Amino acid sequence: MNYSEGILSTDGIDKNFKLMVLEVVKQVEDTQKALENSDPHLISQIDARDDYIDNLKSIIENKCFYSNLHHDMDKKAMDLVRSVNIISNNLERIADLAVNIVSQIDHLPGKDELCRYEYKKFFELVLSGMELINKSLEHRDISRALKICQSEFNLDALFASNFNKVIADLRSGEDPQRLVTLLFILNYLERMGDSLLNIGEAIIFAVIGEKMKIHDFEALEDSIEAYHLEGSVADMAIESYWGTRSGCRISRVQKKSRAEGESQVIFKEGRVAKLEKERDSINLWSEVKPGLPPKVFSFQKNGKSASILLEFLDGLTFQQILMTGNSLLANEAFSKIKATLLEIWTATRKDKPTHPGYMKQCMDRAEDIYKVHPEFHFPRLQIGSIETASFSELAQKAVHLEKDLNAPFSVLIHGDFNIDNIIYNDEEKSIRFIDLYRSKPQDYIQDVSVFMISNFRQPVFVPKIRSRLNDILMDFYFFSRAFAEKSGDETFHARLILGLIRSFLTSTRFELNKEFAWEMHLRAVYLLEKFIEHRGKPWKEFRFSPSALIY
Amino acid sequence: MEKSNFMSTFDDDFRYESIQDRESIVKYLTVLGEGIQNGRLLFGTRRKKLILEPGGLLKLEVKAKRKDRKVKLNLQISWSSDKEKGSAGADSLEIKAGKKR
Repeated sequence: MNYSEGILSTDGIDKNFKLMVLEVVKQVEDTQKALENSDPHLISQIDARDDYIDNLKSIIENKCFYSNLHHDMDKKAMDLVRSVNIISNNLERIADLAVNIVSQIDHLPGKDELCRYEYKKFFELVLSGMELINKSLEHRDISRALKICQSEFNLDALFASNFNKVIADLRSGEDPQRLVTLLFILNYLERMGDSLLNIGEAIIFAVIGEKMKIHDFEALEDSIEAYHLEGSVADMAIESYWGTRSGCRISRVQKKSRAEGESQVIFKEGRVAKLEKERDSINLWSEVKPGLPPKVFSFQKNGKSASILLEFLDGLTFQQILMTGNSLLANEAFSKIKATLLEIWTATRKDKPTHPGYMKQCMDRAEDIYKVHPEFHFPRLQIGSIETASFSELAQKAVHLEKDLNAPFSVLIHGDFNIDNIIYNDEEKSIRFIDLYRSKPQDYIQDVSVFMISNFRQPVFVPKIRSRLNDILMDFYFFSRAFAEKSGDETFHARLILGLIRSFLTSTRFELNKEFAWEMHLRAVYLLEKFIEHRGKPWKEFRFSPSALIY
Repeated sequence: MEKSNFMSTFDDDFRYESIQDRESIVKYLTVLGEGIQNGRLLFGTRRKKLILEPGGLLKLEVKAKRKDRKVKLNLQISWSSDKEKGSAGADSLEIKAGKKR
């Protein structure tokens, strides 16, 4: 629906609103020009336009509150009107900040000074955020709205780096008056970002009818992951245009107390297929165990990419708990994880054999591993009469042997059961699963092995934490072995060793610490040799010592 | 130099690293012991071979160390060879031991 055809056109709010956006954009553009050439005519124009903008804001506000459009308006229409009013308030604030900047011009001798700081970048960010406002609201486009929000986070980061530069220049004895003036200007620009965040959030409110606090942006992280798993460098360049997790962003949310009824959300943008998969998996999990996955607030497709707004889950990831939490908390969360798994495994068990193909999964990613660690591709070697097989020979043999190895039943698996994809809320004593896009009915050993190795592969070597990771890993081994015994799963050990080999090998592609990656590779090779040694004998007789999993 | 895990491009440098258990490691020690006894140790890939011929007096260093949970046993055997690097025999694939550097 086009908003100008709807409720907003009744009283001409749409026209006032578009005009207001245009005027504020012009105001910001002229402010940049005035900073660069101090043209007195331009400065007086800016002052005059400020009055005009104030006036526009009042007109919009009046129409939003007092006109007769409220008669039989539904919630959706009301949300839109409310959102327009919030946006116009924030636009006016941006215009005021522009005037504040212009008032500093007299105290700023030497425009060359300005160029030493990234003021142009500030203007670019503000203007590119503002350019999205009309379209975003018109098309009810959450992606664009989130990009507007993102301006704030980028501006914050930019301000932080320029702030440090000003402080450094002050310390080195440069003219304080000039520098303080400069700092004011940059700060006003940064505050425009606060308003842009409010604007973006107001548009999201108009679309989904709930107040959201944008908590985190996972777009970049996601596309990096997608690149590692299935994509190419070119895909990544196209998809990863959003910033990284930045400290200031997260702390900003933590400092603010949350308003009543306001949800915090996580936004993800990526390929349609992947996000559709995640949405469908979440629905599936909600049926099996309501409340285990996050809620989906919205799902939108924009051509090749899609975006999803998910409930932000309060609590700590199990990884965070293991790294920083006390033992009591860690044990509590771990017990809860095991109990949840038992419940899921029992409830979703289907007694039809399934073929997980661990070695095949691993060989499909071999290229990515060798790209990061070419030295893993070792040849066949000879030491006296001993001949060691090359890595590809070992892997080929295992792929071949694995063909006869099926899991006796399937359960609903998480698909990427890393310790950072599990969230524990200590207050509610609840476990939640995130990142479910690879979830499906499959061999439970897939989740078991990923979980075990995600403990091992933590690049933490502090003895206290390391021994905790080792304990969790071993405990989980015994837990799943007991489940296997109870479930009559006779080839548990043989499938587990393959799952572990797969996880060791594929984990190395994310590990740039060469020594640690090499350690994991060596363990995978050791386990491969143990598996291959057993060929010709029944897999239900296969056993291996889990000591190779202790670091 | 970047860590090269196996045979390096230098013909007289061989390296092998792996994880073993007690049972399997004995196989390697036995083979090495026999090689020393016979005066001929063979290391190689399909393309390159390094043959060491321990003879005369051999120096043996044994280092054992335990620090926290990490334990290390180092065996080092070194000697001087009468043949210079690169003076390979008739078989061009065989490169005899060079001086221990």
